[in-house]
Amino acid sequence: MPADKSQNGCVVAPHVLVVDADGALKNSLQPLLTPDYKVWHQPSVAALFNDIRNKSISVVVVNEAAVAFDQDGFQNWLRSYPLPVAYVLAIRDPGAQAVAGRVAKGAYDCVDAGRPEQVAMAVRHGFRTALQEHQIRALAEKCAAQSAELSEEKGLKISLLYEASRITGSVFHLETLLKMIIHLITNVMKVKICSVMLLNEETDQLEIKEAIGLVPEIMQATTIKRGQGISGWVFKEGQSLLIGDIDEDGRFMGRNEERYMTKSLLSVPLKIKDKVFGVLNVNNKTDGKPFNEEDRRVLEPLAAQIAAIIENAQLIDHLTTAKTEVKKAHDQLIRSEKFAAIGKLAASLSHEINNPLTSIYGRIQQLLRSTVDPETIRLLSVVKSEVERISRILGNLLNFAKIAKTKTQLHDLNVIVDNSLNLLLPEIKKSNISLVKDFNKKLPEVLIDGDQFMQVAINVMLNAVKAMPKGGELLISTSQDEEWIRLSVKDSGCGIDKNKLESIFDPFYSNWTDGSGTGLGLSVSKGIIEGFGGDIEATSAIGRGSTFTIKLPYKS
Amino acid sequence: MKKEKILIVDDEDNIRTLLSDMLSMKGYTVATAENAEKALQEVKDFSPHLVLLDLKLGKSDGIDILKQIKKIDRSIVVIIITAYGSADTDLNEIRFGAYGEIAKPFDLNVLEKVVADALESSTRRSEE
Repeated sequence: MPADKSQNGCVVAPHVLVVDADGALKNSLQPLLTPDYKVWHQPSVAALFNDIRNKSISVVVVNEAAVAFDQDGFQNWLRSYPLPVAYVLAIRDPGAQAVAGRVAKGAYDCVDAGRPEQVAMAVRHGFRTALQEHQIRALAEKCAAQSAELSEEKGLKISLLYEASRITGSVFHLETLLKMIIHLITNVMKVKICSVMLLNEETDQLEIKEAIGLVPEIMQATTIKRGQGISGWVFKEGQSLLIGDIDEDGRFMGRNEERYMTKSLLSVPLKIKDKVFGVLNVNNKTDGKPFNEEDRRVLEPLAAQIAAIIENAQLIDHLTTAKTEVKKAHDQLIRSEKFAAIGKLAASLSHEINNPLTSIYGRIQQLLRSTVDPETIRLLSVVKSEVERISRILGNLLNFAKIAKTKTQLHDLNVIVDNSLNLLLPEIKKSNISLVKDFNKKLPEVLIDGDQFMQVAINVMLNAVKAMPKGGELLISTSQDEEWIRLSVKDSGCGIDKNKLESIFDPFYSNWTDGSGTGLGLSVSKGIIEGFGGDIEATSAIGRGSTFTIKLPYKS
Repeated sequence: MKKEKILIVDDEDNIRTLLSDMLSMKGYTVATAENAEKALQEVKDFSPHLVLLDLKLGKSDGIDILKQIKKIDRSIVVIIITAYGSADTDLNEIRFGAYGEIAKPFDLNVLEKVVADALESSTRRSEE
């Protein structure tokens, strides 16, 4: 058996166990994880617990598509296992519900069994996270033990410290953690005010992150420089400060006296090694007595523990953000790959179909020219118009392909909308529609491909016109808020049924029953707008009309 | 009987015969070619007034064929036929002397008109 630990006990390569009927998943994971991980395989879960123990497994991958797995039972066993183990479940169809259920029960992640690269990524992240959780828990327990030794009133303080370590073992979000810790300190130490101040590295000033007993205005308004006041002094010196009676201490800023209403105070630095990054304050005991050295002996080790918790939570916050970003980039890549593939397919498909179509179309036209029989002309005309429809669909498919080749530059949206409207004016007049324009003349420029946007604008506006064959009102408006520029196209036409509204952006779905639609207009439009980082939405009421809103991001 | 000669270049058999049928019915003298090599040979032998050229001919580069035709005789009118939709017009085609472009599948009336217009404009040009 290969040694998983070196002489000094440091882990060389974490072990991953893949439970899979035929070993195919293991074989595809191996090249993705080697040499960082050592990958093992088992055909069933029968010897799972022994394997984890004997091989010092850190990450378990179960291919649920191939083997039966009792997650509840495994989770129970895992609770009593002393070492960190993350497990990843690979399933055949990882829908949101299936994934959420498994992750809620304790799986690190649940991914597509057919995507080894996703499984590998989950293994890497899962291992790191499990290790971190384990380290935090160990640290918390160590702190608790040390604090307990220092404390004279053991019963009370031990409960506080164990409670704190219990929190650190289960919750990792920084804000939630701070809230719980402060709540705990307030209750157990019986103080009126408790606050955690952290250094804002950009401004180099202390800010109140969480507090109990302070009004939000004070929390938001209070910023303290290094060396300023009591917290500033504690932060600068890295030492705790016990003040029995505030009125007799010159370091307190007199003007804040009334707002804080502080009488007695204990302030301790939050530091890791020698780096101070915040201050923990407790003010005014509920029994009115001043703080004493005993309180300091409780709060100081607690502050050390809290510092570790905060640092770890910050690390995990960073990790989570990084993970989200990686996932986003990955999704985007998949989407753009899909898009490129569709583009290539569309181009070659269009070419292959257009050739026979040309022949059919040409011959039908020749037949039409050579016949005088009305019935034959009628039938041939149907065929001819259907061929034209195929051709339109192909044209749209080609447009779909061309979305990949965008030429973006800064444009005035109002100009593009106006140009598009001008092209539609004959249609608008013909249908007896009154046009109302409500443009925000001061729109900032947006980064888009002007031609493509025009295609979308025309498409949406033409739909509105088609929805009002017997006339109506077409309202075109542009507007702007802090984040988005909006183009809104509102008609007073027939409206779209609620259950059809969900499908109108799907490819090959057409709401027009007369065969005039190809079912690609709105899906192509959505693709284009999403390509610019925007979105397109529709609301509708039967008999009252529809509103399509296109929003685009801009930089102020 | 019109005397103008038209060369049809397309690798699709059915499209060559369609165009050939249609244009000969209109009174033009027609020749066809299914590949680049044959097309250039016909340009020399048949000396067409106009070439209907499918840009996608197997492995050959359509623009290259266009350039070579123009090199043999600048006065030959070339109309590009494309199966990639009209919106895909590559400005290069026009830059290299094509008269215009028609997208497949084409309306016979439109094609006939474009051919007639192209021939007329070239005649006018050569008379000027």
